[in-house]
Amino acid sequence: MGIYYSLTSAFSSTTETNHINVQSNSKTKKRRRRRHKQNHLLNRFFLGSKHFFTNTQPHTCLFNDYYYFNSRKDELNPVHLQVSLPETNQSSIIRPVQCTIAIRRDSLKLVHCYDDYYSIDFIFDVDRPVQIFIYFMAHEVYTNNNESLSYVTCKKSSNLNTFKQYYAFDRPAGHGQIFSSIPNDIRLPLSVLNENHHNCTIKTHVYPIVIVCREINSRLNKSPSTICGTAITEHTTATLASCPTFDQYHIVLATIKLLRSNEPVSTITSDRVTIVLLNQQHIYNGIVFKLFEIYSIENHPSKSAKTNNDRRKVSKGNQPLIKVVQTSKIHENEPFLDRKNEIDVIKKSSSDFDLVLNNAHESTCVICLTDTRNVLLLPCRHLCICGSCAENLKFQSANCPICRVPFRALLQLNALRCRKHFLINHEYSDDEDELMYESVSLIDALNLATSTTKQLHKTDCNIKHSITTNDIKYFCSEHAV
Amino acid sequence: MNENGALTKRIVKESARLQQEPVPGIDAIVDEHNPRYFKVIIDGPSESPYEGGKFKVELFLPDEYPMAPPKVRFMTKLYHPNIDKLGRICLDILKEKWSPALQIRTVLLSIQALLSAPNPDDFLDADVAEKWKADEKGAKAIARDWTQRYAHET
Repeated sequence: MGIYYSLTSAFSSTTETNHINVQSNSKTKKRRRRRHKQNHLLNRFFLGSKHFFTNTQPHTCLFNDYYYFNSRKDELNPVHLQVSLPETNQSSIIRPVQCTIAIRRDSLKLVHCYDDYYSIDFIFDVDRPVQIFIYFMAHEVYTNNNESLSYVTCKKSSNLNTFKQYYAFDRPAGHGQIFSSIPNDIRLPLSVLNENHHNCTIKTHVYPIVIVCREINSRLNKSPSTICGTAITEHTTATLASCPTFDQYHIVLATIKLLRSNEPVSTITSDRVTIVLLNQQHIYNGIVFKLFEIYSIENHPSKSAKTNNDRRKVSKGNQPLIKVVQTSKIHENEPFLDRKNEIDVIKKSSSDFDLVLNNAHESTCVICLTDTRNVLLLPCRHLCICGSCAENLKFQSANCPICRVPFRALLQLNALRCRKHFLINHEYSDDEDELMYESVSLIDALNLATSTTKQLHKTDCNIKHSITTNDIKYFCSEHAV
Repeated sequence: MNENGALTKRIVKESARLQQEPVPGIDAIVDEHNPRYFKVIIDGPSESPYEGGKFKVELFLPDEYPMAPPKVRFMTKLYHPNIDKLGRICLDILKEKWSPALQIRTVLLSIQALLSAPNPDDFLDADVAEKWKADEKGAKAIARDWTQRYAHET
């Protein structure tokens, strides 16, 4: 997590770099996801030297090929949750987006309890206390003319399954927390997915697993709402304040799939089911941001990896927690557990281009093999080159070096880290940004949970340090293409 | 120039890594006078007509490298539909499919793979390709013969 600054210029100039609205999400271990948004404060934005009017030209959106389900027209527009944003005519705006919740995408896993019952585990990072809601077989509903989003558990048609479909928990602030469902007694009978009743498919917006993480705002201490989104309506006035006092939600939508097996086994064994993450969303200030994974941000081996502390061990684990699954093979209309539509496990290093990446040092630019990667190519989301090579590349090539997909934008992502120890030793100065923040490499920043802790243990053993939102800032700027 | 400096750095790094972790079956040596020129010996892949042969290849990194592909040419005569009499190679990654993420190492591996899997449909030498399509066994015999004759010099 971090603070994300975004800046929108209404008029692009040739000499000035255009800054655009992208916020980044930080701080998980292996693969990073990132949210991109089309319309944060203005109804248009600039990317790749093109105007994007989010209302009139939704299909020119950079990411339209990458939405999992294009059939829904509203996918391309941010969904407003009963919060009307202030209209603005300013030519440029800098507004930080402060994300305080993250569920680690890779940590989501299915746990076999007994018989037919399965439950879920995941790791999450929160800066403030949160409430976690878990729904099974929930229906995503947009109400009030698409102005509010809610999840409603489906009615059970079968009397055989009398399982609980809704759970709620409170969790304190903290990073790297493990949410384990077994002590919390969460159980999903897999057989419920076999019943193709009620037209329960993703096309009808029914999701087998929905995890909603809601920030508990200390100022607005309301009772937990069972329906996500409704609570926002009570606090519309708070959104105008500069500090984010409104609620934040982090939503994970997932389904369960069968893995293809070589033997013609008729039974569903526990090692043949896997959880597939369909969609990850962050609701901030009443706007839904879809989170996308950025490729090639691996947790590269740190130089002092041997001195790792317990926390690192917990968060890293020995085994991959989720099997990488090709999500494109998921069809909207099929029943959730259909043997005809079994999926293959894709090994992470299956493609020949991954070989190229593995040969190179993980965090260096694939072109110069020298500098740290910090430029993201869109729409393919490969973070593979450095700033100077990006300048070079855009004049000589139109394709991503990794996948050869033509790129439409090059986004440079910079991270700044707060110097906590600086504050301890020195007087506060007005020149805040220069003195308090030092620039760090993006990959280091994303893996900072361990390294900062380590470093501070070395420099100042007395201070217990935990990373919060304020420690890292991300800036995003575009290389005009 | 700064830009060229960075690109040369890449070449230095690649050369160093080729020395430190050589690719099995491929021996690449930098020319002592020109760091952009490599003399390469590729072993013929096993279970191919080129098995046992040692094929000399020259590889040159143009000024635009890595934005432009390296220039590669066979110095040893060989019978292959995608390699012509002058040793020029018909391989997509050396032309339009070039990507700056590819390296000397990956290019040489691709060439080695091309020896194991000739593609007569996308030929460079029409005569060889015709022969290959009409009589694959015979063509492979010729390739084996040529390997014996030309690729076994010491």
